[in-house]
Amino acid sequence: MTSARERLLYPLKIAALLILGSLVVYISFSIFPIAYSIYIAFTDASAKNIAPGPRLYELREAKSRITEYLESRKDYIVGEAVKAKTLVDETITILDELSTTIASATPENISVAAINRMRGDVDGRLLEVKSIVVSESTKLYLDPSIVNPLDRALRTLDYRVWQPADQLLLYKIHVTEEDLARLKETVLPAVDEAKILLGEASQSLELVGSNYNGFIDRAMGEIDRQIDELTLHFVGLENFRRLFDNPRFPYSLFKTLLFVVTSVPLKMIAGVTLAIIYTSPLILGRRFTRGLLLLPWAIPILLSVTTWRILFTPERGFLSSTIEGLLGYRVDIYVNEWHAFALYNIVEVWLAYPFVMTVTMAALASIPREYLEAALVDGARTFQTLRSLVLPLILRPLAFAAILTTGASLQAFMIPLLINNGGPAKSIPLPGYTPTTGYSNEMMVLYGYNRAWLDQDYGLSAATFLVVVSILLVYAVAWYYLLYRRGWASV
Amino acid sequence: MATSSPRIIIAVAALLVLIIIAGILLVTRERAPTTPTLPTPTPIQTPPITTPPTQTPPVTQPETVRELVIGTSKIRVPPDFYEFVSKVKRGDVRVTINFWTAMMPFEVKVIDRAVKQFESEYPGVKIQYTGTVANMKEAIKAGIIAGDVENTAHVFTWAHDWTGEMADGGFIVSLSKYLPRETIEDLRKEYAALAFSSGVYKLELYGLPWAIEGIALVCNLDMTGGVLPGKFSQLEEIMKRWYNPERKTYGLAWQIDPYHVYPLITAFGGFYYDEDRDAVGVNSAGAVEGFKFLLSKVFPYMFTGDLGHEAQLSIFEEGRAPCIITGPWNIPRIKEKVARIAIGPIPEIDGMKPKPFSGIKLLWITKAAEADRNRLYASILFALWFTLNDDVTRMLMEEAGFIPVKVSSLDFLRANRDKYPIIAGFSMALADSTPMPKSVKMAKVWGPVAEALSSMITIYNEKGREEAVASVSKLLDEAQKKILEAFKG
Repeated sequence: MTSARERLLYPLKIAALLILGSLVVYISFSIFPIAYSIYIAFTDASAKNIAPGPRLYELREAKSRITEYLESRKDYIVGEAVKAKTLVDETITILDELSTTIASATPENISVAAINRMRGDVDGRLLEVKSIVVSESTKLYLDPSIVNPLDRALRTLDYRVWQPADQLLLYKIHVTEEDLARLKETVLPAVDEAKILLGEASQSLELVGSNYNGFIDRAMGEIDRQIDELTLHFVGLENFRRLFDNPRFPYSLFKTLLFVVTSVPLKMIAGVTLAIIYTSPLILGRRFTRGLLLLPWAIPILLSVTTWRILFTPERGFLSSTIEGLLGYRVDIYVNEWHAFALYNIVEVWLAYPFVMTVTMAALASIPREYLEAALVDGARTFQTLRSLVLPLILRPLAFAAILTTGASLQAFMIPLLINNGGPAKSIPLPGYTPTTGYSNEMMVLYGYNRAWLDQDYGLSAATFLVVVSILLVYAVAWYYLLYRRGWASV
Repeated sequence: MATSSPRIIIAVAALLVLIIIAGILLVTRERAPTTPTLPTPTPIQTPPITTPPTQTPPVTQPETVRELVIGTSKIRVPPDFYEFVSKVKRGDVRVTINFWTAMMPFEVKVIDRAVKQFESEYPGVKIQYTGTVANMKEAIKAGIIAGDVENTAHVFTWAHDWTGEMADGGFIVSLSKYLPRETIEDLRKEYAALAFSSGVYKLELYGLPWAIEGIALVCNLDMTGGVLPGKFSQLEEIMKRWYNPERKTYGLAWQIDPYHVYPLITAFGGFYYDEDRDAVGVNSAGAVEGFKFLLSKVFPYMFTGDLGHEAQLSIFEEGRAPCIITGPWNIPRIKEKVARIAIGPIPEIDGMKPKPFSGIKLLWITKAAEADRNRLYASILFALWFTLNDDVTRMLMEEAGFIPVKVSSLDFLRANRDKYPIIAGFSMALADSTPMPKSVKMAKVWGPVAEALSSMITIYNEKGREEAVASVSKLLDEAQKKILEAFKG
């Protein structure tokens, strides 16, 4: 019994440790991120609520204590509110005076000093009001009916009263009729607006005293609103509805598939042709040239795609101006949807042919020389050898290359992003939809990226990528089925 | 016994999975609400200065403020801050803060010198300055969420439009909670009104301003005959004179996107988003007029085949357009190629004043500095010193082209206008600008406006001016609708 246990104990411990380690790694690096990104697709995630800062915890804590606090310090808070209200009312009176002064000002009687004195009086009082309102001891800042009008009034005064007044009066030696007319025209309505806003704030401050429970409710409501704003909400299939309720994403899918249909054959033809040419022993220095041909693979994609864009920049680009000069045909990748699309294809072919070429050359090298010699002896012509002997023999590796490179085309991202960010923008037509303005070459991966980085709409972006992943999954499963179940792999 | 061992392993494994999942759920759902602030940092030599902020607000003790010279300004500060400053000046307190920027190498060099100057003035404070932080906003947020107070920025700088997002999320510290009314009153007088209010959000002061940027009209005087047009009619004459697509010369270079065309929108009284009233004005009458004006009166003199930054800038650099509408960030490059430039406000259109967007560079204190009073005060001191120091402002202006917002520096600039024509030109052009909205909602506005504008450009290039002008209203209505829907969702 003991010996059996001893025998067991050692491997059991090791096994448990290994399992624990691998589980931690698996869950934290694989399962959790995947599950979380899928979850995001069903939420209203935005820059604000996706990674809430310390404020959320502060608010939650505040919520649990706020009612008690406000009730226990009622007298003090009401007292401060009354104080603030008095100051606001005084400010309104001073602003009245300011209006009258400005309205009746002439170049002879205007006193910049008097206006500055009033400004000092207004600013001093409002600063005091501000510090009462934002104080942690009064918590008046939790009442939006106080904060909002006060905030707007302060900004109106800063931007639309003091600033123009400064510009028109402060640095002038002599104030002209024209200056004054402009001052009256711009500043007086702003002063009136500020007075109305301050009036609202004053009323709300009065309400704190006359209906204290109402104030508590508003403060609670504001905390709840802010918590709500910082919290991620589950929205079900809403993001997917938004994805398909206008033609932009469906059109993006269509464009992506079209890109696959056009770019994959082009890549394959270019890669295979070059491979066949460069395996021929007749080409001088073929090892060197073959090495050069693989260069697109080695250059960072950021650099090479940008270079292509520069070559095709309308009017200034080397290739676009050459084409225009020779053929008289204007190439305009920023205006014409299909010119841009054609360039994507060119760049994609340029980037991907080295891969197809390498795979094909490896496959060609594996064809036994005897077969080719036998074909030669039997009198087969070059084309016949190619069609009936070489191609069938390299079909399987070619199929794999095609599958992989199709995956790359489905995920086209860097090319449209760097060339014109999926542009040009135009009205997107799609049967069954009302046309919407959007980017006409926004491939599906780029679409998801732009929703996250341009619109900061992470929920919609995650939903896009979920659709993209499903498409890739369907594609992968289909190939798996065809290759292994239907036996294509054994061809 | 031997056969049961796999079962035991499976059972252990299943249990572990459950525990880990439960752990992850707990961690992601809610961090303990009882510890809202960040973990306490390792203690430093001297005990932190006391007085917690919550119970005794500074407002109730205004009589005790003391005057202090910071930089080149005199401001009133609370006594404990005063004491802290004298201690770090003597080196009695030692504290290290992290300062992050995301700037160009030539800017970093100048700022680094300012930092050194600060350290020699206050030997108690050591600043770890990182000049080029990639993806700064996300890096700061991540550091704060993870509670990494040692390695996250304590002070950082960017244009004011981050304020809303950072303040709403609680990533930046409200200075109003630590500085009494008197200090704020004094500070307010130090900066241009526009700049100071850009740091205020929902009544609280979050950031201190030190520079402003935005776009203005930049002209090549050798091409305009020494003239800097102040009215659109004057500019139009110059544009007519130079527009000749066969010789590849154009009337105006202008990168076209929603940010750069905004002055035309405001000239006609339009706007994109007014955060005061929470109103979207993308299809407002003024915006429609502004876009129509762009298409009918400006585009005919431009190279519209490529309206991107690079193409338009090189048109100006190569002397193929007499003027460009751009910001100070392109000046170093322009100066290398164009000998005589002049800078002024974007020309008035029939007496209507185009107001570009402006971005005010603010210094913010992050939540990572808040847990330790010494670190917080050192951060505040640095932010005050950096923004209140005329020598620093001048150095930043002369060597990196930053446009000051401190009143005394502006006075200096005004008096020495001839010595700093470029800075003075931008400064004047931006005196009457519209600060970009601080609200996060603005993120939902840019996209649809950019789509509408790009679409107008496509139509202009494909079908011509009339059709493009005719499409404006419809495109803007659509953009407006998209934005309103995004606001709702």
